[in-house]
Amino acid sequence: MNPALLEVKDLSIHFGGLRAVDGVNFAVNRGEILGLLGPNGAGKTVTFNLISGVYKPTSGEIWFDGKRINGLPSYAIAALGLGRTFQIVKPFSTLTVLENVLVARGITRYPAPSCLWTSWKSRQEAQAAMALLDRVGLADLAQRKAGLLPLGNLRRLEIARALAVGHKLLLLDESFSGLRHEEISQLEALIRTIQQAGITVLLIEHNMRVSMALCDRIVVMEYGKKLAEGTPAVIQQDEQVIEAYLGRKGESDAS
Amino acid sequence: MQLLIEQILNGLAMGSIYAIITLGLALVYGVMRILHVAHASVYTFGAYAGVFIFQATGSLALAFLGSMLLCAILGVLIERLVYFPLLKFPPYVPLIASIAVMLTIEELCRLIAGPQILTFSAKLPFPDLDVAGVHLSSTLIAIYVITAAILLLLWYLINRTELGLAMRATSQDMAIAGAQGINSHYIVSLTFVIGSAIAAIGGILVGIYYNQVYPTMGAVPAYKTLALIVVGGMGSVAGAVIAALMLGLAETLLIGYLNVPFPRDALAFVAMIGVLVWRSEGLLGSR
Repeated sequence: MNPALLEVKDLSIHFGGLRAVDGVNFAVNRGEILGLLGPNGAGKTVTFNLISGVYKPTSGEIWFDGKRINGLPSYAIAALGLGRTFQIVKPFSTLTVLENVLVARGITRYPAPSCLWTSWKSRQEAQAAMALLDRVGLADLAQRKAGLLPLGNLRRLEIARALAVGHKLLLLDESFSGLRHEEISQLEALIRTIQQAGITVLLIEHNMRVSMALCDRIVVMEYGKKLAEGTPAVIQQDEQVIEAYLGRKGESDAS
Repeated sequence: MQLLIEQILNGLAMGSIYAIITLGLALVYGVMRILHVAHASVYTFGAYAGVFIFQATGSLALAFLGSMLLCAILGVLIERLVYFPLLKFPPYVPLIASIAVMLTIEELCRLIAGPQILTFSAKLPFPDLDVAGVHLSSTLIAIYVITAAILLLLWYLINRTELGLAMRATSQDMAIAGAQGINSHYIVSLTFVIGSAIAAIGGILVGIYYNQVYPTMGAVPAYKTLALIVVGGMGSVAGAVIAALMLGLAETLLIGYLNVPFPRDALAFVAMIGVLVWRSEGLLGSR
């Protein structure tokens, strides 16, 4: 079996004259946590949007579990077992926390006409959704309207939703940003248990300490290109990376 | 007293018809945030389709089914060919396109069927009732029963089925719904199918109720339903239904019964202005 679950080959997207992602290559191996790092505007979220089908690449290929997925619509990519969260949390705010997860749980059945009459409130479904909420620590808030949750809980809800879809790969877009200290360590622990459950994780993270501690490998991007790739220890020593983050010859740090 | 009761019953029927036509508008606004003005022309088209199928076959059941099918197709065509490609533009662009679509469909009806008023003399298979001296025609009863059935089915679909959950998710954010595996475009098309088929029923009921079908019969409903979804709360289906029933009652009672000297068709807009001034989110709207 190919050790890579996700392969990005020579991926580019141009918005007018802007090369937001420009010839990027990397692979995410099965079972690992890969961090995608880089200064603001490096093209990390755009890369996520390309992988999950929000944008169609100008050129290049994306392979997921032996299948070429670039050009597929996002719902079809999700149905292959790829779940994602969003940098700006967007719950279905008028639905309850439980219903938010149930929406994502419906994924295997949406194409079938039977969803015209099948109820989504079956006990089986509710139990499966509750199990997911339990896993992210939101079980006691299940009946709350999602729009009323604070940010930390919303990030967990997004992860629960993404888990309902992504039984193979999770894309987490800055799940740690805006969280308090204790929330960060709880979320770190959660992501480790997700990895132990056999789910591969690709995450974008700005917090250096978190990404160095959590990731097995790191890919650093700058100006739409891949700058470096390697284990956290290697990345920390990489001169180009240090330069990208700290600026050249004492220039002040912008990000 | 008897006159009052009859007026209330007529008002309820009027309100039911408003509700049926407004449903499609509220559904479409809910998932697409587009003011689907052309919905009223789908309703006109549905009345024409109904009257022609009825004249050709003599079967009301076929007229309803055929008209619902044709309107569903028309609705999906409008969505696929006009609205979906325009979604990336600011909301006034699809709105203007919608007005163009409405005029086009109206004129096509006029070209094909002629400008004259067609009669639609059919008897709906419901009994006439006389209760305590109050006469209830079979048409009135048909309007009540059919509207109630539509509302019940729609309520069940939206609140109890998996499809309804997917619709509610799509209406909040298409991109996010896509990431959860929902084919949002399919859901949007389905919304047009449902809304347009209901409009067909409305067109036929109105055609029979007034015994007339004509090219501009959608003109007054077009702007009244706009006022109604504002009063009900943009995108709130329940709010639109309540507003529609209230408007039907108010129109008949204030102007028909109490003879308040006020143009009847303006009432919806007085309500709309009132809502915009005092409660901009509408009866049941959020935000």
